[in-house]
Amino acid sequence: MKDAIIVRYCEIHLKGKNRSFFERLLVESLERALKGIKHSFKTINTRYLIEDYAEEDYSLIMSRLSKVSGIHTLSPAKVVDSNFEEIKDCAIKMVAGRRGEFKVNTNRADKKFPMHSVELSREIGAVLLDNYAPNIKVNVINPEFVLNIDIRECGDTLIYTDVIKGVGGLPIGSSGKGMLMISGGIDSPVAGYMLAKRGMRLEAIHFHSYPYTSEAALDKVKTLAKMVAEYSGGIKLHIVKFTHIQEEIHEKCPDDLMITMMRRFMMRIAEKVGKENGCQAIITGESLGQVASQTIESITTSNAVVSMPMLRPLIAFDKLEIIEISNKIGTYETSILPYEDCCTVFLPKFPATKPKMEAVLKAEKALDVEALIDEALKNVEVIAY
Amino acid sequence: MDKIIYLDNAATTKPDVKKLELATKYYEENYFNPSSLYRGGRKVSCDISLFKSALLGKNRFKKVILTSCGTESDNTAIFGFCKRGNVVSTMGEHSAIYNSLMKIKEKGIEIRLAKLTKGGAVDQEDLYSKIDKDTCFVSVVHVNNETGAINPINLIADRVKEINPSCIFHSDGVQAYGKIECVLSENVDLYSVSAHKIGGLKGTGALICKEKLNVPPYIIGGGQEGGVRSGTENVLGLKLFADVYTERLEKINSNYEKMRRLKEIVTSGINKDLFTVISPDNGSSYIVSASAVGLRGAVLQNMLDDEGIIVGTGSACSSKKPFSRIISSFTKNQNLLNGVIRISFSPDTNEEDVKYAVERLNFNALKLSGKINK
Repeated sequence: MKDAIIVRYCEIHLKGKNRSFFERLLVESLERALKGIKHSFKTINTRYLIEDYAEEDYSLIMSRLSKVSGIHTLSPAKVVDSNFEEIKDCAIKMVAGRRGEFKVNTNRADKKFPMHSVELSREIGAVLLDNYAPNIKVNVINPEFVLNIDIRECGDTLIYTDVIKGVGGLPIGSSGKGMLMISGGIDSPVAGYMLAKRGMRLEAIHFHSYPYTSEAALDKVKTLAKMVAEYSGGIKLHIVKFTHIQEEIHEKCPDDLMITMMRRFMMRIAEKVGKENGCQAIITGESLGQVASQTIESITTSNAVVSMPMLRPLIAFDKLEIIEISNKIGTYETSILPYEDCCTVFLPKFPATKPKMEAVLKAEKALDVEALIDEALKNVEVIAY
Repeated sequence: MDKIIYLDNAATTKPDVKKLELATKYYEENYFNPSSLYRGGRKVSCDISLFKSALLGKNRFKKVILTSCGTESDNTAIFGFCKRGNVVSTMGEHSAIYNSLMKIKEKGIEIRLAKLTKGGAVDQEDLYSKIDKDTCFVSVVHVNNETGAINPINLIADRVKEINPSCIFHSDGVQAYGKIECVLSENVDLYSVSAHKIGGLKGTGALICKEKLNVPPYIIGGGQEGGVRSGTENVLGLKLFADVYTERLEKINSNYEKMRRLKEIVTSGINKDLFTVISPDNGSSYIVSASAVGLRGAVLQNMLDDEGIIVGTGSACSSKKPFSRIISSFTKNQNLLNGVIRISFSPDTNEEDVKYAVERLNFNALKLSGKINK
């Protein structure tokens, strides 16, 4: 009897002739996640088995796997030889200490196994009742736990009770690469996570306005990028010095358009840096109507400067729904650290919520847009996580 | 950037390196556990008594309980004595007091906070009016850590005890100890102090208390500090604390005179078109708080940091809690609250550096103002 972790994937079985492509990417993701931890890796039909790891590494392995896109569920399991005695002993050990209503579920892929699945379930169920009744009771309709027995063709049997939900989605690398605009707030790390979940590789770009925002605020963004990187299999963070552009806009353009104009510059820079780095889309954490820059009018005026697809996974999410995901992926506590995430020094009292394109274009004429962007691009700090 | 001009001494001070060397040497030779009974241990135990009496200075009928910091001293006092009825304190307390009181409040004890006057000193009449027969504990900060306002705690303690003789009077003396002359009145039951604000080490604090007061234990264990604060004594920190305090005490008046000149350089030198001084004239000369009204203190702090000049701000630049709790209790002017910076000195601060810092402060504030206000 030895320990193993069953890894099941989702959706890949839907991908007809491309299936091997998706499977290869998932295996790559798994190996990347388990880098540095001793283990062996086995494929059985549409599942993977992680084995031969040190007992003390179990929690670490589970925690890493819980962040791998493309994994549907995980089960800590025991592997025994496919014979009744071994299965019985293992089942007794596994159910020790448990209470409540249960059932036994057998999957008999190995048709050479002498007992039928229903028969085996019944026999094992009886053995368990002999050992642990009245603490446990059979309920085949609505059990509190299920003892699963999976008799594989290779002569091994997997036995497990717990099925833990994984990230879901598709393996990293199956959906191209996107440039995440990351601010340090709650939304952008969640947006990054959601596209990583759909298999997108990520790079991230942050606009820093020192001395108007602090170094502590930048450290926070770095921490968040690192957290998202655990889901996206790494992130390259581009830090753009944005101060001069902000000062120019503030000096030369109408106050109420400040944010719209800033967004337009950010988008242009994100697209340029994205193209240079092989990204096919820009990702933002915008949620419709959440703030002045996220009304449909503001989105229209800022979107107009880029040709790359803009992905806004949170566009229809309420703040509370975003916070829920943020808590789930562990970024919330960092996101709410009290440092300003974008420069509020220049924030107008009454930002335009419905900026007009003509007004924006006219205001932009006062600036040497290309020169400002070139200057910003000359001075980009890059950190790889 | 080679030279650093450090003007955030209310946050912490540079350690007194010469005395630290002496204390290290002492510690190398006297590393025995003070609770052990062999000769070495007994010597250290005797020395600890001497160091502790040095920390008392001219105070009589008081004793010293060692702690790890000012915050622990405050917590020991509050969680030890705030058990029933109501607790009276001020809006000008450090978070170590304020947040502890908020914790006590959850247990159903009423917390009454007295208003501050402009500048940050407690409104004494308001304080006295909040005390009644059910008041079990009164805490008033000695020198306000953000504005430098001084509360005359001996006078306040005497008056408090006239109103309710059975309550315990505590004062957080972290920004006063070793800086302003003070022999505590017998009515001051508890007084929190910290070493790193006067050239000592972080991780060293003390609670000075009335000799006959039984302080309930806060950390339980081997019974050190008369059972009030168990844990092997921080001998190195204590030795240095005693040494730096002794010197501070000897020079207390000449130092204060020097600080007065430094404060004067700041208050008279800053550009009055840009800055409003928040600190009261009669406040501690060690701290000057001012606001670059309409600008943001944290931005000025960053700009000066780039030039090697380190100052504090009234608040951590924060979008959630943008303003200082203390200063916003006596002014609601958001532009003023946003622009708070705090300049604080130590005896090794020199006049030339302060003059230069004020010049750069004015320069940067003007530059920032030009960028913000088109």
